[in-house]
Amino acid sequence: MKILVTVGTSSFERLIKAVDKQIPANKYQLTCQISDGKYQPINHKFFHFSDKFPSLIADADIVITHGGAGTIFQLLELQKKIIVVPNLDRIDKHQTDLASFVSDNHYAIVCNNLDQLAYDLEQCIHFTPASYQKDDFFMADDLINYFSSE
Amino acid sequence: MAKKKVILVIFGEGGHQKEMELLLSTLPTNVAYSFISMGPNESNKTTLQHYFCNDVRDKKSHIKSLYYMIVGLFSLLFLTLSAMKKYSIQGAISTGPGIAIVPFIVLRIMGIKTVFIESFCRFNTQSMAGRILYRISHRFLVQNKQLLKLYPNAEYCGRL
Repeated sequence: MKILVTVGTSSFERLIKAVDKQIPANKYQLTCQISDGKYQPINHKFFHFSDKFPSLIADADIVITHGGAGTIFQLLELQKKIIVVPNLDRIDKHQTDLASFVSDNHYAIVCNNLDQLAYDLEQCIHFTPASYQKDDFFMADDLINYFSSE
Repeated sequence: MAKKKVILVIFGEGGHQKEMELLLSTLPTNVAYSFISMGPNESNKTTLQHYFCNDVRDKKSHIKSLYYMIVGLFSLLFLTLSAMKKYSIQGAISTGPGIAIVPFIVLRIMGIKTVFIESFCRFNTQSMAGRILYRISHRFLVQNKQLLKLYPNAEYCGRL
Protein backbone atom coordinates (compact mmCIF):
# COMPACT_ATOMS: atom_id res chain seq x y z
CA MET A 1 0.00 0.00 0.00
CA LYS A 2 1.40 3.39 -1.05
CA ILE A 3 1.17 6.27 1.39
CA LEU A 4 2.17 9.87 0.76
CA VAL A 5 2.69 12.28 3.66
CA THR A 6 2.59 15.98 2.81
CA VAL A 7 3.11 19.13 4.90
CA GLY A 8 2.57 21.74 2.17
CA THR A 9 4.67 24.92 2.23
CA SER A 10 5.25 25.18 6.02
CA SER A 11 7.27 22.58 7.93
CA PHE A 12 5.36 20.32 10.33
CA GLU A 13 7.99 18.47 12.38
CA ARG A 14 5.59 16.76 14.79
CA LEU A 15 3.76 15.05 11.95
CA ILE A 16 6.94 13.80 10.26
CA LYS A 17 8.34 12.57 13.60
CA ALA A 18 5.08 10.75 14.40
CA VAL A 19 5.02 9.09 10.98
CA ASP A 20 8.66 8.03 11.29
CA LYS A 21 8.11 6.60 14.77
CA GLN A 22 4.71 4.94 14.37
CA ILE A 23 4.29 3.75 10.79
CA PRO A 24 6.26 0.56 10.02
CA ALA A 25 8.33 0.72 6.81
CA ASN A 26 7.94 -3.03 6.20
CA LYS A 27 4.15 -2.76 6.04
CA TYR A 28 3.68 0.35 3.89
CA GLN A 29 5.51 2.00 1.04
CA LEU A 30 5.63 5.49 2.51
CA THR A 31 7.13 8.77 1.25
CA CYS A 32 7.23 12.08 3.13
CA GLN A 33 7.21 15.59 1.66
CA ILE A 34 8.80 17.65 4.45
CA SER A 35 9.03 21.22 3.02
CA ASP A 36 11.86 23.11 4.82
CA GLY A 37 11.54 20.83 7.87
CA LYS A 38 14.78 20.07 9.72
CA TYR A 39 13.77 16.61 10.93
CA GLN A 40 14.54 14.04 8.27
CA PRO A 41 12.81 10.64 8.52
CA ILE A 42 15.11 7.69 9.23
CA ASN A 43 12.72 4.88 8.32
CA HIS A 44 11.04 6.32 5.26
CA LYS A 45 11.90 8.03 2.00
CA PHE A 46 11.49 11.80 1.94
CA PHE A 47 11.89 14.91 -0.21
CA HIS A 48 11.49 18.63 0.41
CA PHE A 49 9.51 19.73 -2.66
CA SER A 50 8.99 18.04 -6.02
CA ASP A 51 7.67 18.87 -9.46
CA LYS A 52 6.36 15.31 -9.57
CA PHE A 53 3.99 15.93 -6.70
CA PRO A 54 0.75 15.48 -8.74
CA SER A 55 1.86 12.06 -9.97
CA LEU A 56 2.87 11.04 -6.43
CA ILE A 57 -0.63 11.96 -5.28
CA ALA A 58 -2.19 10.03 -8.14
CA ASP A 59 -0.13 6.95 -7.19
CA ALA A 60 -0.88 7.08 -3.47
CA ASP A 61 -3.59 4.87 -1.95
CA ILE A 62 -3.76 7.05 1.15
CA VAL A 63 -2.51 10.61 1.69
CA ILE A 64 -1.67 11.88 5.17
CA THR A 65 -1.84 15.66 4.89
CA HIS A 66 -1.46 18.81 6.96
CA GLY A 67 -4.68 20.84 7.28
CA GLY A 68 -3.92 23.31 4.46
CA ALA A 69 -6.88 24.05 2.23
CA GLY A 70 -5.02 24.00 -1.09
CA THR A 71 -3.88 20.43 -0.57
CA ILE A 72 -7.09 19.16 1.01
CA PHE A 73 -9.40 20.48 -1.72
CA GLN A 74 -7.08 19.09 -4.38
CA LEU A 75 -7.24 15.66 -2.71
CA LEU A 76 -11.01 15.80 -2.18
CA GLU A 77 -11.57 16.56 -5.85
CA LEU A 78 -9.45 13.52 -6.73
CA GLN A 79 -11.63 11.47 -4.33
CA LYS A 80 -8.52 10.28 -2.46
CA LYS A 81 -8.54 8.57 0.90
CA ILE A 82 -7.17 11.18 3.26
CA ILE A 83 -6.05 11.59 6.84
CA VAL A 84 -6.03 15.28 7.78
CA VAL A 85 -3.68 16.35 10.58
CA PRO A 86 -4.26 20.02 11.55
CA ASN A 87 -0.94 21.78 12.11
CA LEU A 88 -1.36 23.26 15.58
CA ASP A 89 2.32 24.34 15.62
CA ARG A 90 1.15 27.41 13.71
CA ILE A 91 0.08 30.46 15.71
CA ASP A 92 -3.14 30.79 13.77
CA LYS A 93 -5.28 27.74 14.39
CA HIS A 94 -7.34 28.09 11.23
CA GLN A 95 -6.56 24.58 10.01
CA THR A 96 -9.06 23.20 12.52
CA ASP A 97 -11.88 25.03 10.68
CA LEU A 98 -11.44 23.02 7.49
CA ALA A 99 -10.66 19.86 9.49
CA SER A 100 -14.06 20.11 11.18
CA PHE A 101 -15.73 20.59 7.79
CA VAL A 102 -14.19 17.44 6.29
CA SER A 103 -14.79 15.40 9.43
CA ASP A 104 -18.45 16.49 9.84
CA ASN A 105 -19.14 15.62 6.19
CA HIS A 106 -17.23 12.30 6.26
CA TYR A 107 -14.89 13.41 3.50
CA ALA A 108 -11.78 12.35 5.41
CA ILE A 109 -10.41 11.01 8.68
CA VAL A 110 -9.11 13.75 10.96
CA CYS A 111 -6.24 13.02 13.34
CA ASN A 112 -6.33 15.48 16.23
CA ASN A 113 -3.99 13.41 18.41
CA LEU A 114 -0.74 12.44 16.74
CA ASP A 115 -0.18 9.64 19.26
CA GLN A 116 -3.06 7.88 17.51
CA LEU A 117 -1.78 8.28 13.98
CA ALA A 118 -1.14 4.54 13.44
CA TYR A 119 -4.67 3.78 14.68
CA ASP A 120 -6.16 6.43 12.36
CA LEU A 121 -4.24 4.90 9.46
CA GLU A 122 -5.80 1.49 10.19
CA GLN A 123 -9.22 3.19 10.27
CA CYS A 124 -8.54 4.92 6.97
CA ILE A 125 -7.82 1.65 5.16
CA HIS A 126 -11.44 0.58 5.75
CA PHE A 127 -12.91 4.08 5.40
CA THR A 128 -15.14 4.98 2.44
CA PRO A 129 -15.15 8.76 2.07
CA ALA A 130 -18.31 10.64 1.09
CA SER A 131 -18.09 12.06 -2.41
CA TYR A 132 -17.07 15.73 -2.50
CA GLN A 133 -18.77 17.94 -5.09
CA LYS A 134 -17.15 21.26 -5.89
CA ASP A 135 -19.38 24.31 -6.36
CA ASP A 136 -17.30 26.16 -8.96
CA PHE A 137 -16.37 29.84 -8.73
CA PHE A 138 -18.86 31.76 -10.89
CA MET A 139 -17.88 35.41 -10.43
CA ALA A 140 -15.11 35.77 -13.05
CA ASP A 141 -17.15 37.72 -15.62
CA ASP A 142 -18.92 39.65 -12.88
CA LEU A 143 -15.57 40.90 -11.52
CA ILE A 144 -14.22 41.92 -14.91
CA ASN A 145 -17.45 43.81 -15.69
CA TYR A 146 -17.27 45.44 -12.28
CA PHE A 147 -13.75 46.75 -12.89
CA SER A 148 -14.60 47.82 -16.45
CA SER A 149 -17.62 49.91 -15.41
CA GLU A 150 -17.25 53.53 -14.34
CA MET B 1 1.79 58.84 -22.64
CA ALA B 2 -1.30 57.42 -20.97
CA LYS B 3 -0.64 54.99 -18.16
CA LYS B 4 -1.39 51.33 -18.88
CA LYS B 5 -4.68 50.09 -17.40
CA VAL B 6 -4.13 47.20 -14.99
CA ILE B 7 -5.78 45.15 -12.28
CA LEU B 8 -3.65 44.64 -9.16
CA VAL B 9 -3.76 41.22 -7.51
CA ILE B 10 -2.35 40.78 -4.00
CA PHE B 11 -1.70 37.41 -2.39
CA GLY B 12 0.42 35.69 0.25
CA GLU B 13 1.87 32.20 0.43
CA GLY B 14 0.43 28.67 0.50
CA GLY B 15 -3.35 28.61 0.17
CA HIS B 16 -3.56 32.35 -0.57
CA GLN B 17 -1.27 31.92 -3.57
CA LYS B 18 -3.09 28.79 -4.70
CA GLU B 19 -6.41 30.66 -4.58
CA MET B 20 -5.04 33.59 -6.59
CA GLU B 21 -3.56 31.28 -9.23
CA LEU B 22 -6.93 29.55 -9.53
CA LEU B 23 -8.64 32.93 -9.82
CA LEU B 24 -6.23 34.16 -12.49
CA SER B 25 -6.82 31.00 -14.49
CA THR B 26 -10.60 31.58 -14.45
CA LEU B 27 -10.56 35.28 -15.37
CA PRO B 28 -11.00 36.04 -19.09
CA THR B 29 -7.73 37.09 -20.77
CA ASN B 30 -9.10 38.91 -23.82
CA VAL B 31 -9.74 42.09 -21.88
CA ALA B 32 -8.45 45.61 -22.29
CA TYR B 33 -6.02 45.51 -19.39
CA SER B 34 -3.23 43.44 -17.90
CA PHE B 35 -2.56 42.23 -14.39
CA ILE B 36 0.15 43.33 -12.00
CA SER B 37 0.79 41.45 -8.77
CA MET B 38 2.10 41.99 -5.25
CA GLY B 39 3.19 39.42 -2.67
CA PRO B 40 6.06 37.31 -1.28
CA ASN B 41 6.10 35.04 -4.36
CA GLU B 42 5.36 35.40 -8.05
CA SER B 43 2.39 33.37 -9.26
CA ASN B 44 2.64 30.64 -11.88
CA LYS B 45 0.53 32.89 -14.11
CA THR B 46 2.86 35.60 -15.35
CA THR B 47 1.77 39.18 -14.71
CA LEU B 48 3.02 42.38 -16.32
CA GLN B 49 5.02 43.25 -13.21
CA HIS B 50 5.40 41.68 -9.79
CA TYR B 51 6.05 43.76 -6.66
CA PHE B 52 7.84 41.67 -4.05
CA CYS B 53 7.01 42.11 -0.38
CA ASN B 54 7.46 39.88 2.65
CA ASP B 55 4.58 38.32 4.52
CA VAL B 56 3.62 40.54 7.45
CA ARG B 57 3.26 37.54 9.75
CA ASP B 58 5.53 34.80 10.93
CA LYS B 59 3.54 31.59 11.11
CA LYS B 60 5.29 30.45 14.29
CA SER B 61 6.13 33.54 16.33
CA HIS B 62 4.21 36.60 17.52
CA ILE B 63 7.36 38.66 18.21
CA LYS B 64 8.71 38.15 14.71
CA SER B 65 5.24 38.95 13.39
CA LEU B 66 5.27 42.34 15.11
CA TYR B 67 8.66 43.18 13.60
CA TYR B 68 7.62 42.05 10.11
CA MET B 69 4.40 44.00 10.46
CA ILE B 70 6.12 47.31 11.14
CA VAL B 71 8.67 46.87 8.34
CA GLY B 72 5.97 45.46 6.05
CA LEU B 73 3.63 48.38 6.62
CA PHE B 74 6.05 50.89 5.14
CA SER B 75 7.22 48.65 2.35
CA LEU B 76 3.63 47.94 1.28
CA LEU B 77 2.77 51.61 1.36
CA PHE B 78 5.79 52.37 -0.83
CA LEU B 79 5.02 49.54 -3.27
CA THR B 80 1.38 50.59 -3.61
CA LEU B 81 2.29 54.20 -4.34
CA SER B 82 4.95 53.08 -6.84
CA ALA B 83 2.41 50.89 -8.66
CA MET B 84 -0.10 53.75 -8.73
CA LYS B 85 2.50 56.12 -10.15
CA LYS B 86 3.38 53.77 -12.98
CA TYR B 87 -0.02 52.26 -13.84
CA SER B 88 -3.66 53.24 -14.04
CA ILE B 89 -5.05 50.72 -11.55
CA GLN B 90 -8.65 49.86 -12.45
CA GLY B 91 -9.22 47.67 -9.43
CA ALA B 92 -7.59 45.34 -6.95
CA ILE B 93 -8.35 41.79 -5.86
CA SER B 94 -6.83 39.98 -2.91
CA THR B 95 -7.12 36.44 -1.60
CA GLY B 96 -5.31 37.48 1.61
CA PRO B 97 -3.65 37.55 3.98
CA GLY B 98 -3.00 40.80 5.89
CA ILE B 99 -0.52 42.15 3.32
CA ALA B 100 -3.57 43.46 1.43
CA ILE B 101 -4.69 45.78 4.24
CA VAL B 102 -2.37 48.73 3.58
CA PRO B 103 -2.77 48.66 -0.23
CA PHE B 104 -6.56 48.38 0.11
CA ILE B 105 -6.72 51.38 2.44
CA VAL B 106 -4.64 53.47 0.02
CA LEU B 107 -6.64 52.33 -3.03
CA ARG B 108 -9.96 52.91 -1.28
CA ILE B 109 -8.93 56.47 -0.40
CA MET B 110 -8.00 57.02 -4.04
CA GLY B 111 -11.42 55.74 -5.16
CA ILE B 112 -10.11 52.54 -6.76
CA LYS B 113 -12.38 49.48 -6.58
CA THR B 114 -11.27 46.75 -4.18
CA VAL B 115 -12.48 43.15 -3.90
CA PHE B 116 -11.43 40.79 -1.14
CA ILE B 117 -12.03 37.04 -1.34
CA GLU B 118 -12.02 35.35 2.05
CA SER B 119 -9.92 32.17 2.11
CA PHE B 120 -11.60 28.90 1.17
CA CYS B 121 -10.30 27.34 4.38
CA ARG B 122 -12.73 29.45 6.41
CA PHE B 123 -16.12 27.99 7.29
CA ASN B 124 -17.00 29.14 10.79
CA THR B 125 -14.20 31.56 11.66
CA GLN B 126 -12.99 34.85 10.18
CA SER B 127 -9.41 35.48 9.10
CA MET B 128 -7.63 38.51 10.57
CA ALA B 129 -7.43 40.07 7.10
CA GLY B 130 -11.09 39.25 6.43
CA ARG B 131 -12.26 40.86 9.65
CA ILE B 132 -10.53 44.14 8.75
CA LEU B 133 -11.05 44.13 4.98
CA TYR B 134 -14.76 43.38 5.37
CA ARG B 135 -15.01 47.00 6.50
CA ILE B 136 -12.62 48.41 3.91
CA SER B 137 -13.13 46.67 0.56
CA HIS B 138 -15.92 47.62 -1.82
CA ARG B 139 -16.93 44.01 -2.35
CA PHE B 140 -16.31 41.04 -0.07
CA LEU B 141 -16.67 37.51 -1.45
CA VAL B 142 -16.89 34.23 0.46
CA GLN B 143 -16.31 30.75 -0.89
CA ASN B 144 -18.29 28.88 1.75
CA LYS B 145 -21.96 29.71 2.35
CA GLN B 146 -21.62 29.21 6.12
CA LEU B 147 -19.59 32.43 6.24
CA LEU B 148 -22.57 34.57 5.23
CA LYS B 149 -23.62 34.31 8.89
CA LEU B 150 -20.38 36.01 9.96
CA TYR B 151 -20.24 38.43 7.02
CA PRO B 152 -23.90 39.37 6.31
CA ASN B 153 -23.02 41.83 3.51
CA ALA B 154 -20.68 39.43 1.74
CA GLU B 155 -21.45 37.73 -1.58
CA TYR B 156 -21.15 33.98 -2.14
CA CYS B 157 -18.93 33.29 -5.18
CA GLY B 158 -18.49 29.50 -5.36
CA ARG B 159 -15.11 27.85 -4.72
CA LEU B 160 -11.92 28.65 -6.57
